[in-house]
Amino acid sequence: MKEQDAFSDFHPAVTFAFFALAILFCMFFRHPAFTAATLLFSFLYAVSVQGVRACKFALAMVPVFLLVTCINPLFNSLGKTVLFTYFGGRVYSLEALAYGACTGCMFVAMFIWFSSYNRVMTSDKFTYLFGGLAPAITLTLTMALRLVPTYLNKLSQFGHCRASLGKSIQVGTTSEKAAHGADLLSQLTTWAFENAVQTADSMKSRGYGVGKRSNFSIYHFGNRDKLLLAAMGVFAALSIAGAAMGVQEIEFYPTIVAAPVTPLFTCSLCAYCTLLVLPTMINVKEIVLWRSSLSRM
Amino acid sequence: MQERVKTSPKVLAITVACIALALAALASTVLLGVENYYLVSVAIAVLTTVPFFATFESRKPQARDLVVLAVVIALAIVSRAAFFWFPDFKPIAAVIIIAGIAFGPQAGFMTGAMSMLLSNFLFGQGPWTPWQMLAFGLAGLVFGILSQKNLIPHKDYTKKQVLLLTVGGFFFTWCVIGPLLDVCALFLMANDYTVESVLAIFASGVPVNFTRAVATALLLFFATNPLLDKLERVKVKYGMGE
Repeated sequence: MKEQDAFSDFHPAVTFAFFALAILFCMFFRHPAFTAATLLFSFLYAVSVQGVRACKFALAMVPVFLLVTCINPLFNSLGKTVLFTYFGGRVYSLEALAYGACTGCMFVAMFIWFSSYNRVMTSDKFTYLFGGLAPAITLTLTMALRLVPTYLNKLSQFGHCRASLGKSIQVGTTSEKAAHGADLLSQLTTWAFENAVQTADSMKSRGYGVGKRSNFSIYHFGNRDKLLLAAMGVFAALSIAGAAMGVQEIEFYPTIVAAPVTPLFTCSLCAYCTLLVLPTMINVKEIVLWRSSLSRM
Repeated sequence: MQERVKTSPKVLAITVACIALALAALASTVLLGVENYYLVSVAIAVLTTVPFFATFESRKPQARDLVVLAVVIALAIVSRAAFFWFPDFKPIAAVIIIAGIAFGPQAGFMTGAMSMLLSNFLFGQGPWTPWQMLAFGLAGLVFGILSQKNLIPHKDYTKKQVLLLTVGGFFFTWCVIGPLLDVCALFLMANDYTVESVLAIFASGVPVNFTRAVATALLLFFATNPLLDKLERVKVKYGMGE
């Protein structure tokens, strides 16, 4: 997975900025062409990061898409082109179906972007990014992240112990099971707090809160990060400029009326596509380089 | 964790800015007719949580405060594992409510909001994250306020009081947290609303919200006293979280 995703090796600020832009624009640009673009590029990027898993994820999204698409006309009878009527006269219209399809595409694209985000923006990158802004909160988050697996482990130990006493959380009536579950949690709480006191004392004796906390990080904001960030800024600005000048205006009801395709529209769409394809291009370039270096060996 | 009433000018400025921005976002929809309801609503949800985080940060919390918060957050997330044989049993709200009662509104909100942020690191962030943070933060906040104003006891609940808290927690989870999470779905799914579509989305959420409320109620019923005792014990024994 690591060698497949060169984009995630960029500085976390760049990665985060990209996903923030991609997801915000995905929600904000509702013109069908723009939605189709974000769907396509979210999928391409997901494939470049996750391979076959991305295809499975996208397949799993098909029912969601169909559901969102088909449901919209049930609630909205504004469209003019009647496909059929039901319930004695309620209209199921083509326009509402088209609008539903757009919303469905946006929905799926957003989920795919988020699926990549979750793979690429790991919690360490997140805490690194926000460590400067909110040091206490980030530290709490980091501690809690580490405590979760510890507690799960401890919970299973307690569970085995209690099971041997005949208090397994898996036998008995529902009420007994719930009571045993609550007991288990209560035990864990006692243990957790006794431990926490030690941690806190240890932190205090090492001088927590005395001065400004420094952070260790392995991230370096280099020239390629600056370049990529600048490129993203330019393409994002162009996309926004287009949207602000109304190239994306489209009315679905009563009939679908879109703003005419002007050079400005094409320009804005191209900028948007370029922005979204950047990480995929970086990944593909890396794969090609790797392959060619292999063949030369 | 400390409930001192002391607001630094910086936090005050952040809070005022957040309120102003949230109002501006609201005005953009109501007055200017901006139709991207999801973005507007997310902006408001995020802006609501920011002052709490800023207040927490500005108090320069001590090591003990941080550790207690981290422990409660981790416990809230792990709570689910103690009931893994129940399908969809998510009693996280119960732990947050109890934390709110024990540590007050500020810490209660932080517990709720950060538990959701953290649990999404494990289960996947999504467009729902800000909503979950707000909804579960509110649970800690509301029960924290109730306990701070002595409307509900801090500890040693009688049978009747446990029952009342259980019912209260049940309805809060079902009728406040659930619908707040459904608002997210509502704003995501559609851009033009009819009474039917709004009702349909809220109705589709009812069974899920009901299960979550049952889980919360069950854990509140069984764990309120033991957990509150333990939190109280930690406070007395080590002076933590006061």
